[in-house]
Parts: sequence; C-alpha cells; structure tokens
Amino acid sequence: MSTDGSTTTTALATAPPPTPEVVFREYAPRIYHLARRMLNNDADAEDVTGEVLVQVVRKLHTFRGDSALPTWLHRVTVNAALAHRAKRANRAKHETATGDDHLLDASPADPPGAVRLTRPKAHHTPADVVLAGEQRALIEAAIARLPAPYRDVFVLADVEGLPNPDIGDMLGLSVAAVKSRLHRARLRMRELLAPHFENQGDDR
Amino acid sequence: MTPLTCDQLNDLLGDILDDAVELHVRAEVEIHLGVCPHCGGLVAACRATITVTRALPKCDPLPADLEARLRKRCGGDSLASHDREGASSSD
Repeated sequence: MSTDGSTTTTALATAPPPTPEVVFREYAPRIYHLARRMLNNDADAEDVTGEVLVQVVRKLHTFRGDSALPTWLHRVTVNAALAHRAKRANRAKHETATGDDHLLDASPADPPGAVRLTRPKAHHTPADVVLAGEQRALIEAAIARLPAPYRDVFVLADVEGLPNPDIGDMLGLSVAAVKSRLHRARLRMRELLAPHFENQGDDR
Repeated sequence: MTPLTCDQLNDLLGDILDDAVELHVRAEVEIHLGVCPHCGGLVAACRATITVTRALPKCDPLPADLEARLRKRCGGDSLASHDREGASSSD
C-alpha cells in the first residue's frame, strides 16, 4: 500500500524499517479510506483503522526495510474490515456473500442530476482525469451502492489497483471468482454512472 | 476467421477491459467492436467508468479530530517517542 506508487515501495526496499510515526503519517489515511470504502461507515472504518495501526506498531520491528510492508498493510486492513463486517452481520443479519447478488440489478441508477462527468477519451489514463469534489462524491456514492462482496473486489481492483491474484488471496476467492465479481461490479458501476456522463450519444 | 457474436464478445468483456485478450482473438474483438455499435458503446462506457474510478484519490488527509483519536488509540505521544527511541538505539 504505497502512498504514491513505486517510489515509496522502492524506498522501503532499501531503507531501515519505518518508524511508527512515519507509518501513521503515511499509511493511516490509506488504511482509513480503504476500510471506509469497504464498510460504508465512518465509525466502523475508524475502529478498523485503530485495530490495524495498533497491530502495525506492535509488529513493525519485524519489518527490516521490507517492501512487503505495503502489501501486508493491505492484507491486514482487508482482514480487519471483513472481520468487522462479519461481527456486524452476526448482530444484524445484513449483507451476506450470496444474498446481495440480486441487489446488483435491483436498485435503479440515480437520475442524471447536476453533477456531470466528463467522458475520458479512449487514450486517456486516470492521471489525465481531474475530478472535482462533487464528481468524486458521485463516484464514491456509486461504489457505496455495490453489494459488499462486489464492492470489496471493485475497490481493491479499480481503486487500489491490486492484481486479481492478490485480491483472491486476500478475500479467499479463486481468480475466476474475482474476475466474475469484478465484471459484474463494473457493469453495475457503468449503469450507475452512465446517466452522469456527458455526450450520452457518443460512447465510442 | 469466424466473426464474434455479441454473446461471445460479452464473455470476453472482462479480459477486454483488462487488456488481457489473447493475441489470436484480439483482431476478432476489434472487428466486432468496429461494426457493432452496441458492443462498441458498452466497452467504451465501461472503459470510461474504470478510468474515472481509477482517478479517485486513494485517500485524503485525515480530519484533525479523527487523527487525534487514532493517535490516542495507538498510544498517543508514544508514537513519536518510539521514533526517538528507535533513532537513539540505532546510533
């Protein structure tokens, strides 16, 4: 879980183990936002972030400038978020791994409102796209509407940028299952965001 | 070369979006996308959705009150003092 890509990862591979303060400053926001996207709840995300940070501070001495730290932080955060959700589900039989499937097709997309998204050109990369605050909120709200099992895969793949095999390891899924859930989540995200894209008649 | 059907294209959609279509199928996909407005539109819309999603910042700075609570939970000042101990022990 590097903050800005390979530079941090490379630095971690050669540097001494990061101090707790450095880990807090560099990784606490990433841990919190990943947990928040997975759990759709600020208080739950705060709980998970606290648990993860305590674990990290306790075990940090085992990392000797190891570039595995970002990967480990991802894994610990995902595990903590899943455990948190499972505890909640036990209390209030909410989202389950299979029971949410129909929700992918059930709820209608928002009607096109004031928030518009500029459709990226085919050659554009994410780095070419600048999102205003309201556009970010729109996309975050669409992600929040995905059922949990699909949202987990979508967030890890298309927000965090993790490869499918790593996601499968973290979630206990086969790569085929990851690809299947990601496929359905992307189709649902397309439905949810389509009314907001400019140039509706020009999909190419 | 047998033309792809829309159903076959749909089956390949995940690989298309991940640029993971096998080389020998790629030309057939391009041909289909060139002549089928429905599939062409679907792929373009999915790509646009993925691109804007990947443009989301992975995180924002923590609000000050949240940061304070998390620091307290992690031991408060011990985070920084841990740093000072680590620095002195490594000297």
